[in-house]
Amino acid sequence: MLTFQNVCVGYGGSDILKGLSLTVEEGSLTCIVGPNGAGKSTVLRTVSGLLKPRKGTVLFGNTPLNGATPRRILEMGILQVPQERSLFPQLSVLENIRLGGFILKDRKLVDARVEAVVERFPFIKDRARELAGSLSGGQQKLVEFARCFMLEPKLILLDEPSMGLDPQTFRQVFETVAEVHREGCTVLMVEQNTKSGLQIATHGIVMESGTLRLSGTNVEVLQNPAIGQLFLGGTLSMAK
Amino acid sequence: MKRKRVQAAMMVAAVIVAAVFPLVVSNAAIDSVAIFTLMYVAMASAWNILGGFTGYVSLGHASFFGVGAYAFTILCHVWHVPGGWITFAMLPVAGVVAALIAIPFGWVALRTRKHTFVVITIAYLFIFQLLAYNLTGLTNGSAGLGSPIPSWTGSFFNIPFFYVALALALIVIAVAAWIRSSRLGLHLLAIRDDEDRALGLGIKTGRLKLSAFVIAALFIAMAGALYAYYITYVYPPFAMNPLDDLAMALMSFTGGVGTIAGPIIGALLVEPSQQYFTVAFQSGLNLVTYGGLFLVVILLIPRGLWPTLRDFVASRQSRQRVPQAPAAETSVLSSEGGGQ
Repeated sequence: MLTFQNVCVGYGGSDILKGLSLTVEEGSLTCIVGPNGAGKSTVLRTVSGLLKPRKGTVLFGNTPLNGATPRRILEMGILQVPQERSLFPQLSVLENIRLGGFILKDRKLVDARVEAVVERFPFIKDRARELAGSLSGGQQKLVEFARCFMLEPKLILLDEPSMGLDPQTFRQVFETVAEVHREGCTVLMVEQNTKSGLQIATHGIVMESGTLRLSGTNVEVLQNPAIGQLFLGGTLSMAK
Repeated sequence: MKRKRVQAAMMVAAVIVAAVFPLVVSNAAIDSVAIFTLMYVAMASAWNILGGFTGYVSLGHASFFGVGAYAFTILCHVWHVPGGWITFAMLPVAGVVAALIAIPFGWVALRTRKHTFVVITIAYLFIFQLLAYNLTGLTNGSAGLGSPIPSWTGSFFNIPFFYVALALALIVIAVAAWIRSSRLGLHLLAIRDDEDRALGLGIKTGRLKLSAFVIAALFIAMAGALYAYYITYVYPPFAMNPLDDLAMALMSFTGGVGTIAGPIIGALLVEPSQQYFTVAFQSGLNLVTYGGLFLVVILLIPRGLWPTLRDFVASRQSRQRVPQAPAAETSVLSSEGGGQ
Protein backbone atom coordinates (compact mmCIF):
# COMPACT_ATOMS: atom_id res chain seq x y z
CA MET A 1 0.00 0.00 0.00
CA LEU A 2 2.82 2.39 0.92
CA THR A 3 6.31 2.10 -0.49
CA PHE A 4 9.47 4.09 0.16
CA GLN A 5 12.07 3.59 -2.56
CA ASN A 6 15.55 4.84 -1.64
CA VAL A 7 14.13 8.01 -0.04
CA CYS A 8 16.35 10.83 1.24
CA VAL A 9 14.68 13.52 3.34
CA GLY A 10 16.10 16.12 5.66
CA TYR A 11 15.86 19.47 7.33
CA GLY A 12 18.25 22.22 6.32
CA GLY A 13 21.46 20.84 4.88
CA SER A 14 21.52 17.34 6.35
CA ASP A 15 19.54 14.22 5.52
CA ILE A 16 17.55 12.46 8.22
CA LEU A 17 16.34 9.60 6.02
CA LYS A 18 19.33 8.27 4.11
CA GLY A 19 18.08 6.17 1.21
CA LEU A 20 15.27 4.54 3.14
CA SER A 21 13.30 1.75 1.49
CA LEU A 22 10.34 0.12 3.18
CA THR A 23 6.90 -1.28 2.48
CA VAL A 24 3.65 -1.08 4.43
CA GLU A 25 1.16 -3.74 3.43
CA GLU A 26 -2.53 -3.01 3.00
CA GLY A 27 -4.56 -3.95 6.07
CA SER A 28 -1.50 -4.15 8.29
CA LEU A 29 -0.73 -2.42 11.55
CA THR A 30 2.91 -1.58 11.07
CA CYS A 31 4.95 -0.22 13.95
CA ILE A 32 8.19 1.66 13.36
CA VAL A 33 10.55 1.50 16.31
CA GLY A 34 14.06 2.70 16.86
CA PRO A 35 16.19 4.95 19.01
CA ASN A 36 15.82 8.73 19.19
CA GLY A 37 16.98 10.43 16.01
CA ALA A 38 16.38 7.33 13.88
CA GLY A 39 14.01 9.29 11.62
CA LYS A 40 10.77 7.55 12.63
CA SER A 41 8.63 10.69 12.80
CA THR A 42 10.32 11.98 9.64
CA VAL A 43 8.87 8.97 7.79
CA LEU A 44 5.36 10.04 8.82
CA ARG A 45 5.98 13.70 7.98
CA THR A 46 7.19 12.64 4.55
CA VAL A 47 4.10 10.53 3.89
CA SER A 48 1.76 13.32 4.96
CA GLY A 49 3.51 15.79 2.65
CA LEU A 50 5.01 18.03 5.33
CA LEU A 51 8.49 17.13 4.10
CA LYS A 52 9.49 16.64 0.47
CA PRO A 53 11.91 13.86 -0.50
CA ARG A 54 15.19 15.11 -1.97
CA LYS A 55 15.75 11.77 -3.61
CA GLY A 56 13.75 8.60 -4.13
CA THR A 57 10.04 7.93 -4.46
CA VAL A 58 7.15 7.51 -2.04
CA LEU A 59 4.27 5.55 -3.54
CA PHE A 60 0.74 5.19 -2.18
CA GLY A 61 -0.54 2.24 -4.17
CA ASN A 62 0.74 3.25 -7.58
CA THR A 63 0.40 7.00 -6.98
CA PRO A 64 3.59 8.93 -6.24
CA LEU A 65 3.28 11.24 -3.23
CA ASN A 66 6.45 13.22 -3.92
CA GLY A 67 4.88 16.35 -5.37
CA ALA A 68 1.53 16.17 -3.59
CA THR A 69 0.44 18.89 -1.18
CA PRO A 70 -0.62 17.94 2.37
CA ARG A 71 -4.22 18.72 1.42
CA ARG A 72 -4.09 16.45 -1.64
CA ILE A 73 -2.63 13.70 0.52
CA LEU A 74 -5.51 14.16 2.98
CA GLU A 75 -7.95 13.87 0.09
CA MET A 76 -6.30 10.58 -0.85
CA GLY A 77 -7.25 9.23 2.59
CA ILE A 78 -3.92 9.48 4.42
CA LEU A 79 -4.39 11.04 7.84
CA GLN A 80 -1.87 11.78 10.53
CA VAL A 81 -2.39 12.04 14.27
CA PRO A 82 0.62 14.10 15.31
CA GLN A 83 2.75 13.51 18.37
CA GLU A 84 1.86 16.85 19.96
CA ARG A 85 -1.68 17.81 20.99
CA SER A 86 -3.63 18.95 17.97
CA LEU A 87 -7.11 19.62 19.36
CA PHE A 88 -8.50 23.12 19.78
CA PRO A 89 -8.87 23.36 23.57
CA GLN A 90 -11.53 26.10 23.62
CA LEU A 91 -13.78 24.30 21.14
CA SER A 92 -16.11 21.51 22.15
CA VAL A 93 -15.26 17.87 21.48
CA LEU A 94 -17.93 17.73 18.78
CA GLU A 95 -16.63 20.89 17.09
CA ASN A 96 -13.16 19.37 17.05
CA ILE A 97 -14.58 16.28 15.40
CA ARG A 98 -16.36 18.45 12.81
CA LEU A 99 -13.08 20.22 12.07
CA GLY A 100 -11.69 16.86 11.00
CA GLY A 101 -13.96 17.13 7.96
CA PHE A 102 -12.83 20.63 7.03
CA ILE A 103 -12.12 19.70 3.41
CA LEU A 104 -15.68 18.43 2.93
CA LYS A 105 -17.97 21.04 1.41
CA ASP A 106 -21.27 19.14 1.74
CA ARG A 107 -22.79 19.91 5.15
CA LYS A 108 -25.05 16.86 5.03
CA LEU A 109 -22.06 14.64 4.40
CA VAL A 110 -20.23 16.25 7.34
CA ASP A 111 -23.27 15.65 9.58
CA ALA A 112 -23.46 12.02 8.46
CA ARG A 113 -19.74 11.50 9.11
CA VAL A 114 -20.01 13.10 12.56
CA GLU A 115 -22.86 10.74 13.33
CA ALA A 116 -20.80 7.78 12.13
CA VAL A 117 -17.80 8.84 14.24
CA VAL A 118 -19.99 9.24 17.34
CA GLU A 119 -21.47 5.81 16.71
CA ARG A 120 -18.01 4.34 16.34
CA PHE A 121 -16.59 6.10 19.41
CA PRO A 122 -19.54 6.32 21.84
CA PHE A 123 -17.48 8.08 24.52
CA ILE A 124 -17.59 11.18 22.29
CA LYS A 125 -21.34 11.39 22.73
CA ASP A 126 -20.97 11.68 26.50
CA ARG A 127 -18.37 14.42 26.23
CA ALA A 128 -19.66 16.08 23.04
CA ARG A 129 -20.38 19.50 24.53
CA GLU A 130 -17.37 19.65 26.83
CA LEU A 131 -14.37 21.75 25.91
CA ALA A 132 -11.63 19.61 24.39
CA GLY A 133 -9.12 21.28 26.70
CA SER A 134 -10.96 19.87 29.72
CA LEU A 135 -10.31 16.25 28.66
CA SER A 136 -7.39 14.22 29.96
CA GLY A 137 -4.37 13.66 27.73
CA GLY A 138 -5.51 10.17 26.82
CA GLN A 139 -9.04 11.27 26.02
CA GLN A 140 -7.66 14.04 23.83
CA LYS A 141 -5.55 11.50 21.99
CA LEU A 142 -8.64 9.35 21.42
CA VAL A 143 -10.59 12.35 20.10
CA GLU A 144 -7.69 13.16 17.74
CA PHE A 145 -7.77 9.56 16.61
CA ALA A 146 -11.56 9.59 16.19
CA ARG A 147 -11.31 12.83 14.20
CA CYS A 148 -9.43 10.96 11.45
CA PHE A 149 -12.59 9.04 10.65
CA MET A 150 -14.29 12.20 9.38
CA LEU A 151 -12.38 11.64 6.14
CA GLU A 152 -12.74 7.85 5.91
CA PRO A 153 -9.02 7.13 6.12
CA LYS A 154 -7.28 4.53 4.01
CA LEU A 155 -4.06 4.90 5.95
CA ILE A 156 -3.72 6.34 9.46
CA LEU A 157 -0.35 7.65 10.58
CA LEU A 158 0.09 7.63 14.35
CA ASP A 159 3.05 9.44 15.82
CA GLU A 160 3.90 8.13 19.30
CA PRO A 161 0.31 7.68 20.52
CA SER A 162 1.46 6.57 23.97
CA MET A 163 3.50 9.68 24.69
CA GLY A 164 2.70 11.23 28.09
CA LEU A 165 -0.11 8.80 28.94
CA ASP A 166 -0.62 6.94 32.19
CA PRO A 167 -0.56 3.10 31.93
CA GLN A 168 -4.35 2.69 31.99
CA THR A 169 -5.00 5.32 29.29
CA PHE A 170 -2.03 3.97 27.35
CA ARG A 171 -3.71 0.53 27.24
CA GLN A 172 -7.03 2.10 26.23
CA VAL A 173 -5.41 4.00 23.35
CA PHE A 174 -3.56 0.91 22.14
CA GLU A 175 -6.70 -1.24 22.38
CA THR A 176 -8.54 1.34 20.29
CA VAL A 177 -5.79 1.35 17.68
CA ALA A 178 -5.84 -2.46 17.55
CA GLU A 179 -9.63 -2.58 17.23
CA VAL A 180 -9.67 -0.02 14.45
CA HIS A 181 -7.06 -2.07 12.66
CA ARG A 182 -9.10 -5.26 13.12
CA GLU A 183 -12.00 -3.45 11.45
CA GLY A 184 -9.86 -3.18 8.33
CA CYS A 185 -7.96 0.09 8.59
CA THR A 186 -4.28 0.23 7.66
CA VAL A 187 -2.22 1.87 10.39
CA LEU A 188 1.38 3.02 10.33
CA MET A 189 2.50 3.83 13.83
CA VAL A 190 5.70 5.23 15.24
CA GLU A 191 6.25 4.16 18.82
CA GLN A 192 8.99 4.77 21.34
CA ASN A 193 7.65 2.00 23.55
CA THR A 194 9.16 -0.81 21.47
CA LYS A 195 7.61 -3.84 23.13
CA SER A 196 4.05 -2.54 23.47
CA GLY A 197 4.09 -1.12 19.96
CA LEU A 198 5.28 -4.34 18.37
CA GLN A 199 2.90 -6.48 20.42
CA ILE A 200 -0.23 -4.88 18.96
CA ALA A 201 1.30 -4.59 15.47
CA THR A 202 1.17 -7.13 12.68
CA HIS A 203 4.45 -5.91 11.21
CA GLY A 204 7.49 -4.22 12.63
CA ILE A 205 10.16 -1.97 11.18
CA VAL A 206 13.32 -1.11 13.06
CA MET A 207 15.08 2.08 11.99
CA GLU A 208 18.42 3.47 12.96
CA SER A 209 20.18 6.62 11.73
CA GLY A 210 17.69 7.14 8.92
CA THR A 211 17.99 3.66 7.47
CA LEU A 212 16.04 0.42 7.73
CA ARG A 213 17.76 -2.09 10.00
CA LEU A 214 15.14 -4.78 10.35
CA SER A 215 11.63 -5.53 9.08
CA GLY A 216 9.17 -8.39 9.14
CA THR A 217 6.16 -9.59 11.04
CA ASN A 218 5.89 -8.40 14.61
CA VAL A 219 6.86 -11.85 15.88
CA GLU A 220 9.98 -11.95 13.68
CA VAL A 221 11.06 -8.54 14.88
CA LEU A 222 10.23 -9.23 18.52
CA GLN A 223 12.16 -12.53 18.46
CA ASN A 224 15.24 -11.03 16.89
CA PRO A 225 17.97 -11.27 19.53
CA ALA A 226 19.25 -7.77 18.76
CA ILE A 227 15.89 -6.16 19.54
CA GLY A 228 16.45 -6.60 23.27
CA GLN A 229 19.00 -3.83 23.14
CA LEU A 230 16.29 -1.48 21.80
CA PHE A 231 14.06 -2.28 24.79
CA LEU A 232 16.82 -0.86 26.95
CA GLY A 233 16.96 2.30 24.89
CA GLY A 234 20.02 1.30 22.91
CA THR A 235 20.60 0.68 19.20
CA LEU A 236 20.90 -2.42 17.08
CA SER A 237 24.53 -1.50 16.33
CA MET A 238 25.34 -1.75 20.02
CA ALA A 239 24.00 -5.30 20.08
CA LYS A 240 26.55 -6.46 17.49
CA MET B 1 -32.47 20.75 22.54
CA LYS B 2 -34.28 22.14 25.59
CA ARG B 3 -31.68 24.88 25.96
CA LYS B 4 -32.11 25.86 22.32
CA ARG B 5 -35.88 26.08 22.77
CA VAL B 6 -35.46 28.28 25.83
CA GLN B 7 -33.04 30.53 23.94
CA ALA B 8 -35.42 30.79 20.97
CA ALA B 9 -38.33 31.62 23.27
CA MET B 10 -36.26 34.30 25.01
CA MET B 11 -35.29 35.77 21.65
CA VAL B 12 -38.90 35.88 20.42
CA ALA B 13 -40.01 37.50 23.69
CA ALA B 14 -37.21 40.10 23.40
CA VAL B 15 -38.21 40.91 19.80
CA ILE B 16 -41.87 41.33 20.81
CA VAL B 17 -40.92 43.62 23.70
CA ALA B 18 -38.66 45.63 21.39
CA ALA B 19 -41.35 45.84 18.70
CA VAL B 20 -43.98 47.32 21.03
CA PHE B 21 -41.52 49.49 22.97
CA PRO B 22 -41.93 52.78 21.04
CA LEU B 23 -45.71 52.29 20.97
CA VAL B 24 -45.81 51.98 24.75
CA VAL B 25 -43.08 54.46 25.68
CA SER B 26 -43.79 57.82 24.04
CA ASN B 27 -41.00 59.77 25.74
CA ALA B 28 -38.73 61.07 22.94
CA ALA B 29 -35.60 61.06 25.12
CA ILE B 30 -36.11 57.43 26.13
CA ASP B 31 -36.89 56.44 22.54
CA SER B 32 -33.69 58.14 21.47
CA VAL B 33 -31.69 56.13 24.02
CA ALA B 34 -33.41 53.00 22.72
CA ILE B 35 -32.40 53.83 19.13
CA PHE B 36 -28.77 54.28 20.14
CA THR B 37 -28.93 51.08 22.17
CA LEU B 38 -30.19 49.12 19.16
CA MET B 39 -27.46 50.66 16.99
CA TYR B 40 -24.90 49.48 19.53
CA VAL B 41 -26.49 46.02 19.64
CA ALA B 42 -25.87 45.86 15.87
CA MET B 43 -22.36 47.32 16.14
CA ALA B 44 -21.24 45.16 19.05
CA SER B 45 -22.66 42.02 17.40
CA ALA B 46 -20.86 42.92 14.16
CA TRP B 47 -17.62 43.66 16.04
CA ASN B 48 -17.99 40.30 17.77
CA ILE B 49 -17.87 38.49 14.40
CA LEU B 50 -14.26 39.62 14.15
CA GLY B 51 -13.16 40.24 17.73
CA GLY B 52 -15.14 37.46 19.35
CA PHE B 53 -15.04 34.69 16.76
CA THR B 54 -11.45 35.11 15.52
CA GLY B 55 -9.92 36.66 18.65
CA TYR B 56 -8.60 39.62 16.62
CA VAL B 57 -9.52 42.58 18.85
CA SER B 58 -10.00 45.57 16.59
CA LEU B 59 -9.95 49.03 18.13
CA GLY B 60 -10.32 50.65 14.73
CA HIS B 61 -13.66 49.53 13.38
CA ALA B 62 -15.22 52.82 14.47
CA SER B 63 -13.42 54.22 11.41
CA PHE B 64 -15.85 52.19 9.27
CA PHE B 65 -18.71 53.63 11.30
CA GLY B 66 -17.42 57.02 10.11
CA VAL B 67 -16.88 55.81 6.56
CA GLY B 68 -20.49 54.58 6.53
CA ALA B 69 -21.74 57.92 7.87
CA TYR B 70 -19.76 59.91 5.30
CA ALA B 71 -20.56 57.55 2.43
CA PHE B 72 -24.26 57.85 3.23
CA THR B 73 -24.19 61.63 3.44
CA ILE B 74 -21.98 62.19 0.40
CA LEU B 75 -23.92 59.75 -1.79
CA CYS B 76 -27.23 61.32 -0.73
CA HIS B 77 -25.84 64.68 -1.83
CA VAL B 78 -24.41 63.35 -5.10
CA TRP B 79 -27.54 61.40 -6.04
CA HIS B 80 -29.91 64.07 -4.66
CA VAL B 81 -31.63 61.61 -2.33
CA PRO B 82 -34.20 63.55 -0.28
CA GLY B 83 -35.04 62.81 3.33
CA GLY B 84 -37.77 60.19 3.58
CA TRP B 85 -38.35 56.46 3.71
CA ILE B 86 -36.39 55.80 0.52
CA THR B 87 -33.31 57.25 2.19
CA PHE B 88 -33.06 54.15 4.37
CA ALA B 89 -32.24 52.23 1.17
CA MET B 90 -28.90 54.06 1.19
CA LEU B 91 -27.82 52.24 4.36
CA PRO B 92 -26.69 49.04 2.62
CA VAL B 93 -25.04 51.12 -0.12
CA ALA B 94 -22.98 52.93 2.52
CA GLY B 95 -22.21 49.56 4.09
CA VAL B 96 -20.93 48.16 0.80
CA VAL B 97 -18.73 51.23 0.21
CA ALA B 98 -17.17 50.77 3.67
CA ALA B 99 -16.77 47.02 3.10
CA LEU B 100 -14.87 47.66 -0.15
CA ILE B 101 -12.61 50.13 1.64
CA ALA B 102 -12.15 47.63 4.47
CA ILE B 103 -10.71 44.97 2.15
CA PRO B 104 -7.22 46.49 1.58
CA PHE B 105 -7.04 47.83 5.14
CA GLY B 106 -8.00 44.46 6.54
CA TRP B 107 -5.55 42.68 4.26
CA VAL B 108 -2.70 44.80 5.63
CA ALA B 109 -3.77 44.72 9.31
CA LEU B 110 -4.37 40.97 9.31
CA ARG B 111 -0.79 40.28 8.34
CA THR B 112 -0.11 40.95 12.02
CA ARG B 113 -1.42 39.28 15.15
CA LYS B 114 -2.45 40.07 18.72
CA HIS B 115 -1.10 43.36 20.13
CA THR B 116 0.36 44.51 16.83
CA PHE B 117 -3.03 44.06 15.19
CA VAL B 118 -4.68 46.11 17.95
CA VAL B 119 -2.16 48.92 17.51
CA ILE B 120 -2.56 48.95 13.73
CA THR B 121 -6.34 49.16 14.01
CA ILE B 122 -6.03 52.07 16.46
CA ALA B 123 -3.79 53.77 13.89
CA TYR B 124 -6.49 53.21 11.25
CA LEU B 125 -9.01 55.13 13.34
CA PHE B 126 -6.79 58.17 13.54
CA ILE B 127 -5.78 57.91 9.88
CA PHE B 128 -9.46 57.96 8.87
CA GLN B 129 -10.20 60.78 11.30
CA LEU B 130 -7.34 62.85 9.85
CA LEU B 131 -8.56 62.12 6.35
CA ALA B 132 -12.05 63.28 7.31
CA TYR B 133 -10.58 66.53 8.65
CA ASN B 134 -8.32 67.14 5.68
CA LEU B 135 -10.16 65.89 2.60
CA THR B 136 -12.24 69.05 2.71
CA GLY B 137 -13.39 68.73 -0.89
CA LEU B 138 -15.12 65.49 0.02
CA THR B 139 -15.96 65.77 3.71
CA ASN B 140 -16.10 69.55 4.22
CA GLY B 141 -13.45 69.15 6.93
CA SER B 142 -14.20 70.09 10.51
CA ALA B 143 -17.37 71.94 9.48
CA GLY B 144 -18.92 68.57 8.64
CA LEU B 145 -21.70 67.67 6.25
CA GLY B 146 -25.46 67.84 6.62
CA SER B 147 -27.43 64.67 5.91
CA PRO B 148 -30.91 64.62 4.36
CA ILE B 149 -33.59 65.83 6.76
CA PRO B 150 -36.32 63.23 7.36
CA SER B 151 -39.72 64.22 6.00
CA TRP B 152 -41.50 63.38 9.27
CA THR B 153 -41.41 65.37 12.50
CA GLY B 154 -42.89 65.61 15.98
CA SER B 155 -43.66 62.65 18.18
CA PHE B 156 -43.41 60.30 15.18
CA PHE B 157 -39.82 61.36 14.45
CA ASN B 158 -38.12 58.54 16.36
CA ILE B 159 -40.43 55.72 15.27
CA PRO B 160 -38.99 54.95 11.79
CA PHE B 161 -35.43 55.16 13.12
CA PHE B 162 -36.30 52.83 15.98
CA TYR B 163 -37.69 50.14 13.67
CA VAL B 164 -34.85 50.45 11.16
CA ALA B 165 -32.33 50.19 14.03
CA LEU B 166 -34.23 47.16 15.33
CA ALA B 167 -34.23 45.56 11.87
CA LEU B 168 -30.50 46.22 11.48
CA ALA B 169 -29.80 44.73 14.92
CA LEU B 170 -31.86 41.62 14.10
CA ILE B 171 -30.13 41.19 10.74
CA VAL B 172 -26.67 41.41 12.31
CA ILE B 173 -27.66 38.99 15.09
CA ALA B 174 -29.06 36.56 12.51
CA VAL B 175 -25.89 36.80 10.39
CA ALA B 176 -23.69 36.31 13.48
CA ALA B 177 -25.76 33.30 14.56
CA TRP B 178 -25.59 31.83 11.06
CA ILE B 179 -21.82 32.32 10.91
CA ARG B 180 -21.41 30.80 14.39
CA SER B 181 -23.27 27.65 13.35
CA SER B 182 -21.66 27.37 9.92
CA ARG B 183 -18.41 25.88 8.66
CA LEU B 184 -17.06 29.45 8.42
CA GLY B 185 -17.80 30.03 12.10
CA LEU B 186 -16.13 26.81 13.16
CA HIS B 187 -13.03 27.76 11.22
CA LEU B 188 -13.04 31.27 12.72
CA LEU B 189 -13.23 29.77 16.21
CA ALA B 190 -10.38 27.43 15.35
CA ILE B 191 -8.33 30.51 14.37
CA ARG B 192 -9.19 32.14 17.71
CA ASP B 193 -8.16 29.02 19.57
CA ASP B 194 -4.86 28.39 17.83
CA GLU B 195 -4.17 30.00 14.48
CA ASP B 196 -1.03 28.00 13.76
CA ARG B 197 -2.86 24.76 14.51
CA ALA B 198 -5.70 25.85 12.20
CA LEU B 199 -3.14 26.62 9.49
CA GLY B 200 -1.58 23.22 10.06
CA LEU B 201 -4.96 21.60 9.62
CA GLY B 202 -5.19 23.24 6.20
CA ILE B 203 -7.69 26.01 7.01
CA LYS B 204 -7.16 29.06 4.81
CA THR B 205 -6.95 31.46 7.72
CA GLY B 206 -6.06 34.65 5.81
CA ARG B 207 -9.17 34.59 3.65
CA LEU B 208 -11.46 33.76 6.58
CA LYS B 209 -10.06 36.47 8.86
CA LEU B 210 -10.46 39.03 6.09
CA SER B 211 -14.08 37.92 5.57
CA ALA B 212 -14.80 38.51 9.26
CA PHE B 213 -13.04 41.90 9.14
CA VAL B 214 -15.08 43.01 6.12
CA ILE B 215 -18.44 41.66 7.38
CA ALA B 216 -17.91 43.54 10.67
CA ALA B 217 -17.03 46.72 8.74
CA LEU B 218 -20.12 46.36 6.52
CA PHE B 219 -22.61 46.28 9.39
CA ILE B 220 -20.81 48.85 11.54
CA ALA B 221 -20.85 51.18 8.53
CA MET B 222 -24.60 50.64 8.10
CA ALA B 223 -25.05 51.68 11.73
CA GLY B 224 -22.87 54.72 10.97
CA ALA B 225 -25.12 55.63 8.04
CA LEU B 226 -28.21 55.29 10.22
CA TYR B 227 -26.54 57.49 12.82
CA ALA B 228 -25.77 60.17 10.20
CA TYR B 229 -29.39 60.16 9.02
CA TYR B 230 -30.78 60.28 12.57
CA ILE B 231 -28.46 63.06 13.78
CA THR B 232 -28.79 64.81 10.35
CA TYR B 233 -25.16 65.83 10.22
CA VAL B 234 -21.77 64.19 10.29
CA TYR B 235 -18.39 65.55 11.30
CA PRO B 236 -15.04 63.93 12.11
CA PRO B 237 -14.84 63.69 15.92
CA PHE B 238 -18.31 62.14 16.21
CA ALA B 239 -18.10 59.95 13.12
CA MET B 240 -14.69 58.51 13.98
CA ASN B 241 -14.85 58.41 17.74
CA PRO B 242 -12.37 56.24 19.70
CA LEU B 243 -15.05 55.81 22.36
CA ASP B 244 -17.16 53.87 19.86
CA ASP B 245 -14.34 51.37 19.50
CA LEU B 246 -14.04 51.07 23.23
CA ALA B 247 -17.82 50.75 23.53
CA MET B 248 -18.09 47.90 21.01
CA ALA B 249 -15.28 45.96 22.71
CA LEU B 250 -16.59 46.71 26.20
CA MET B 251 -20.13 45.63 25.32
CA SER B 252 -18.90 42.36 23.81
CA PHE B 253 -16.62 41.60 26.75
CA THR B 254 -19.27 42.57 29.33
CA GLY B 255 -21.94 40.31 27.85
CA GLY B 256 -19.63 37.51 26.73
CA VAL B 257 -17.19 37.85 23.86
CA GLY B 258 -17.53 35.18 21.18
CA THR B 259 -21.15 34.39 22.06
CA ILE B 260 -24.28 35.55 20.22
CA ALA B 261 -26.11 36.78 23.30
CA GLY B 262 -23.08 38.48 24.87
CA PRO B 263 -22.85 41.64 22.72
CA ILE B 264 -26.65 42.06 22.92
CA ILE B 265 -26.63 41.88 26.73
CA GLY B 266 -23.56 44.10 26.86
CA ALA B 267 -25.11 46.77 24.64
CA LEU B 268 -28.41 46.67 26.55
CA LEU B 269 -26.53 47.24 29.82
CA VAL B 270 -23.75 49.59 28.81
CA GLU B 271 -25.36 52.02 26.35
CA PRO B 272 -28.35 53.16 28.49
CA SER B 273 -26.00 53.43 31.52
CA GLN B 274 -23.55 55.46 29.49
CA GLN B 275 -26.33 57.79 28.29
CA TYR B 276 -27.55 58.15 31.88
CA PHE B 277 -24.07 58.98 33.20
CA THR B 278 -23.55 61.49 30.40
CA VAL B 279 -26.74 63.34 31.33
CA ALA B 280 -26.35 62.94 35.08
CA PHE B 281 -22.72 63.99 35.48
CA GLN B 282 -21.86 65.97 32.33
CA SER B 283 -18.23 66.16 33.39
CA GLY B 284 -16.55 63.27 31.66
CA LEU B 285 -17.37 60.97 34.58
CA ASN B 286 -19.08 58.70 32.08
CA LEU B 287 -15.62 57.98 30.65
CA VAL B 288 -14.37 57.01 34.11
CA THR B 289 -17.29 54.59 34.44
CA TYR B 290 -16.30 53.10 31.05
CA GLY B 291 -12.79 52.43 32.29
CA GLY B 292 -14.01 51.20 35.66
CA LEU B 293 -16.49 48.82 34.11
CA PHE B 294 -13.84 47.45 31.75
CA LEU B 295 -11.57 46.72 34.73
CA VAL B 296 -14.37 45.06 36.69
CA VAL B 297 -15.29 42.85 33.74
CA ILE B 298 -11.71 41.81 32.96
CA LEU B 299 -10.86 41.13 36.60
CA LEU B 300 -14.07 39.54 37.88
CA ILE B 301 -15.89 38.06 34.88
CA PRO B 302 -13.28 37.77 32.12
CA ARG B 303 -15.56 35.55 30.06
CA GLY B 304 -18.47 37.98 30.37
CA LEU B 305 -21.89 37.85 32.01
CA TRP B 306 -23.62 35.38 29.70
CA PRO B 307 -21.06 32.52 29.75
CA THR B 308 -20.49 33.01 33.50
CA LEU B 309 -24.23 32.86 34.20
CA ARG B 310 -24.66 29.87 31.87
CA ASP B 311 -21.85 27.95 33.59
CA PHE B 312 -23.25 28.84 37.02
CA VAL B 313 -26.67 27.44 36.10
CA ALA B 314 -25.11 24.34 34.52
CA SER B 315 -22.96 23.63 37.57
CA ARG B 316 -25.97 24.03 39.90
CA GLN B 317 -27.99 21.63 37.75
CA SER B 318 -25.19 19.06 37.69
CA ARG B 319 -24.84 19.31 41.49
CA GLN B 320 -28.55 18.64 41.90
CA ARG B 321 -28.37 15.49 39.80
CA VAL B 322 -28.07 12.21 41.64
CA PRO B 323 -24.50 10.93 41.24
CA GLN B 324 -24.29 7.75 39.18
CA ALA B 325 -21.87 4.89 39.66
CA PRO B 326 -18.94 5.12 37.23
CA ALA B 327 -19.20 2.83 34.24
CA ALA B 328 -16.80 -0.08 34.04
CA GLU B 329 -13.65 0.57 32.04
CA THR B 330 -14.35 -0.77 28.58
CA SER B 331 -13.34 -0.15 25.04
CA VAL B 332 -14.00 3.34 23.74
CA LEU B 333 -15.19 1.83 20.47
CA SER B 334 -18.78 0.84 19.84
CA SER B 335 -19.30 -2.87 20.35
CA GLU B 336 -21.25 -2.91 17.11
CA GLY B 337 -18.19 -1.77 15.29
CA GLY B 338 -19.28 0.51 12.52
CA GLY B 339 -16.37 -0.74 10.47
CA GLN B 340 -15.06 0.29 7.13
